[in-house]
Amino acid sequence: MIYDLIIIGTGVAGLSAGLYAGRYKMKTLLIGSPFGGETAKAGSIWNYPGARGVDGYDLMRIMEAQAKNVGVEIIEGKVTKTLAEGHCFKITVDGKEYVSKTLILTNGAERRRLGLPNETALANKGVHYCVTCDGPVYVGKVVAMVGGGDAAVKGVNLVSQYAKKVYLLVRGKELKAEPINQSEMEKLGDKVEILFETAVTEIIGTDKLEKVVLSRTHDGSNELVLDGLFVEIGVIPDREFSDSLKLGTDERGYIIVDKSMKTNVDGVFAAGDATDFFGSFKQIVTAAAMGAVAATSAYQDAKTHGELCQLHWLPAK
Amino acid sequence: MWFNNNGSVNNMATVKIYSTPWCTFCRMAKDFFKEHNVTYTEYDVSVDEKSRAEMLERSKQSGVPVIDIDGELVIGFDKSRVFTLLGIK
Ligand SMILES: Cc1cc2nc3c(=O)[nH]c(=O)nc-3n(C[C@H](O)[C@H](O)[C@H](O)COP(=O)(O)OP(=O)(O)OC[C@H]3O[C@@H](n4cnc5c(N)ncnc54)[C@H](O)[C@@H]3O)c2cc1C
Repeated sequence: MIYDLIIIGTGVAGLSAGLYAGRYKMKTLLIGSPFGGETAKAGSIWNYPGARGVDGYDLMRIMEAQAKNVGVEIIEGKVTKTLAEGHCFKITVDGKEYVSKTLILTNGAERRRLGLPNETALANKGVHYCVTCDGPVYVGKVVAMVGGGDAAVKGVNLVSQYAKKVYLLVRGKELKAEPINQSEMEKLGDKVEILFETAVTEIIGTDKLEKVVLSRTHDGSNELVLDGLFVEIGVIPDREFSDSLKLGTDERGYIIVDKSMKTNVDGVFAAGDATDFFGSFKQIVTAAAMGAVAATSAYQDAKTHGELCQLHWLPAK
Repeated sequence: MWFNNNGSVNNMATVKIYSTPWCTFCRMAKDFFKEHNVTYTEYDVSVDEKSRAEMLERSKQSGVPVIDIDGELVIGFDKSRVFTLLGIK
């Protein structure tokens, strides 16, 4: 069986593309793991029009239901292989191959890590990458958030509901968060201390995090004793699929798309945080919009070039 | 636990989940239990001090969810381990 469209990624961009593709009556398979992408971990969402204060996980479940409702098939699994052959795309998940006439990549990007020696050993032992998940464990504790963007500030606002003291460690000279989220943070008063131009240079602890070393002194010391350290320093694109499909990428690895979300390979489209289409403005609203555009373009493409796949495709023996 | 004629699982295992309100994988795990009719008890470690201490002590780490199936601890929502411990095929 050949699908009209396979979408990789069950985050906002993928689910939005699925919804549109289903409404175009394309035979669509959506593959992703873990479900919901970054939005499912984002906590309350206040800037997605029409969904005031919705919880990110619930929003993703609603989008999933919308896509299923228009006939989109969804499977949970990691794509391990992608192959393009004569306008046919062969996608491998858990050893099983699926074939489609068009492909949309919405695989987002990987969380950036600090890249420090002890970081992996102390992951979940004081060092965390999901503040909405693990922040509430730090009741009455001292924690730090690394990052200066919106996710970091939102994270500070959340973890402050539980921790007794929160340091925000910002490498640059200023914050790049939504002003409304910054105002929320300012209301927290002394509980939050922002250290600008401060990087973490060492993570210290044996069985659990004990302290970090900072690039500059604070209160006369460059060591900061902490119970928890949360890292929200952005993302790096995953080059796995762009390499295997020979897609054009920018110098950082983001997939290059035109205004119809088309890549340099016929029949392949990309949307959401896997691209840099809107620059550093990577949001739910932009990912959803790109997903919708990509599905519309895939629909046009499958109508005009779809037969090419049928002509060339030979089922696996 | 035993299997019905229709292949679904009737679960007699004692299942506990240590969770926090916003945690995605906790919610995925709870959705999974509901889908498979697995009865579970939830401990919100952000408000329940005793369970928080218990989770930290038993799992020797501070990430959620921690799932306890008949005394066996699963750290994170490791679906294949949960499947095995619950005997779900
Ligand atoms: C903490 C935090 C808070 C945020 N808060 C907000 C906010 O309030 N408002 C807002 O607008 N934006 C917010 N954002 C940004 C927003 O979440 C992202 O822009 C959005 O999730 C991007 O969607 P996406 O679908 O492009 O990618 P992602 O959400 O990253 O989804 C990518 C999907 O691809 C899947 N995938 C990757 N590789 C594979 C593979 N090999 N096989 C199968 N599946 C794969 C992943 O599992 C995932 O399902 C926040 C981000 C963070 C981190």
